[in-house]
Amino acid sequence: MTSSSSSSFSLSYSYVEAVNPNLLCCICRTPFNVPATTKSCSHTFCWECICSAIAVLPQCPIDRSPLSLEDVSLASPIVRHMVSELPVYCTHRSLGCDHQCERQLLEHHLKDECLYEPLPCPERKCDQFIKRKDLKSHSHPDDHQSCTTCDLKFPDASHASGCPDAQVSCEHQPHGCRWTGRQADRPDHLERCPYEPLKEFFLMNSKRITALEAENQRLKDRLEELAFVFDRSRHDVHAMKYLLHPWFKLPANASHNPTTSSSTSSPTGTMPLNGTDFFPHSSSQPDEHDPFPEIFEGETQHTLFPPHRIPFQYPHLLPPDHTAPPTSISVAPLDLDGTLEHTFTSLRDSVVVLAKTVEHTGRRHDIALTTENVRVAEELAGVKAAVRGIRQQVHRIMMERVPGNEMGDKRMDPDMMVSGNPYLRSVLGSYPALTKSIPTTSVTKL
Amino acid sequence: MGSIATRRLAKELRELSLECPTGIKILSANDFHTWRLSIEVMGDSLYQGQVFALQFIFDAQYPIASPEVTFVSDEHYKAPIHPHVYSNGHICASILGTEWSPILSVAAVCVTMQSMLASCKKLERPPDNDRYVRHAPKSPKNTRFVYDDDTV
Repeated sequence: MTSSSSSSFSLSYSYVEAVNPNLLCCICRTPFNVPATTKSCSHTFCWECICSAIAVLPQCPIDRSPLSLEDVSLASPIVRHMVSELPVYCTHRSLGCDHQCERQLLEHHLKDECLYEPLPCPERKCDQFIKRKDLKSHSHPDDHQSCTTCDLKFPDASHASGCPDAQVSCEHQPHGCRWTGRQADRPDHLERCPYEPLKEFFLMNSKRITALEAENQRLKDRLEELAFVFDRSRHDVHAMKYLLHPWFKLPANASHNPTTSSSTSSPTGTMPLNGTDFFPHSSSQPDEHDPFPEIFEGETQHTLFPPHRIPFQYPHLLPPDHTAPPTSISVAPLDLDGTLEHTFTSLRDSVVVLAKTVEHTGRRHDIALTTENVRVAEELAGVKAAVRGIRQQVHRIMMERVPGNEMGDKRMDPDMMVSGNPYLRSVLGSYPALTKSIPTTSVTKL
Repeated sequence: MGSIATRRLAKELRELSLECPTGIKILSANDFHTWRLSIEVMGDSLYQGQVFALQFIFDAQYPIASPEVTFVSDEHYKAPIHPHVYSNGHICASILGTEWSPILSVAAVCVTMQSMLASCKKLERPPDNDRYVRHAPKSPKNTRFVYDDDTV
């Protein structure tokens, strides 16, 4: 209690505002510091003030009633808080600190924050107190000038550029001078040093080397950058080559370019499949890709059949005999020796030819069907006439067998007879429908 | 000088500079050791028109311990002729001795002296003045006064 009070009491506060007189200790005339109240007469003082007053005279300074240290206790919390929260300026305001805070926080500010708080030398080398803001620039004279060679306690002006007795080497040592000696002798040596006249050259040389190194580094960086771009491009080329596999060819006039040929030679070896293995006859029959080159020579520009998008399929994934069906019709294999564009063009031509053929075949089928229909209709008419003859004959036979008086006035309708007879109905019933189903339109169309 | 004494005296000096009690003026207060103030009794009294000077000498224990207060007696100022004031300027007043309290101040002492002089009925020296002055210690605080007069 007393120690903490004395430590904080050493602070001399500078209050921002005028303090309520009720909070002033009448002994020190300042706001209470660790307020203490007497039990007997309820007067409040600073703890230290009343303690020292009692030590001199054991009575209350205000009403002179007898008082001992036991009669003094800490003041009520409200009083303590009121004085603790009084706004104060930093103790180092005169030095430049503008900080202001509650009185109870000032100790923390000084301990941890205030840039103007004097602190002891961090290395304990001197007895100075240094402001916190100057701590970094604080140094000691002997930090720089202590001489390790000679016994000088306090290095003087002769040590400004080092101890004269110190063993040093020539400043041209990096260039090859092997001289070593006392620091004081170095100027003499420099006059005789063979490297001294070359000093300017060395300087220029080292500058050039530095510039070249910098440029080298720049070029290295650029090279790395380009290598990265190249790797990415090579990856793209691989992917393209994989897609284009059988048609991937170098332009004939690019073969003299060593860069291109060397870059493509190794990836080709890494390709998993070689398309020519599945098309062994492609090179032997290079000219049979179009079986009808002359037939539709003049009709290649066909607007009715726009270029079809051929679904992509890896040629080597197809069965080897897919392009050669067992029928006598033979389809030419893909030309893998030409360019991709050429292959696409020839495929499109084939499609055009196929479309023509399909249309042609369709027309022939139509004609054949119509001819067949006419023949069937004629035959049907003949059959109908025959059936009618048979019916009349059957009718007559039935009339002959049945007596005329038994029949009466009833006329026998042949259709009624047919419908009454289950057998006849099953044979002839669907006949009229047959005649109607013949498509006359197709006949007239011809 | 103790820090309490310094701060306390600084505060008192600031207050006195702002506003002095009537009839009291600061003559010199250049440090926190010795102050001199002039004192004049206002109103109807035996000392009308006279100006005296009080000298305060503080020690590090102020305000716990009383200051040493005397009337100046030199070529400029004379100690007032008063039953409790010796001719050498020493004052026999209880508040400057056993009755001192830390709550008293320079201004309070001055006002007390004013009132002591104002209430004087008869201009005379203390009865044992010559004997006391001859043997008096330098500081009146070393004198053991007997305070027998309660009228002043």
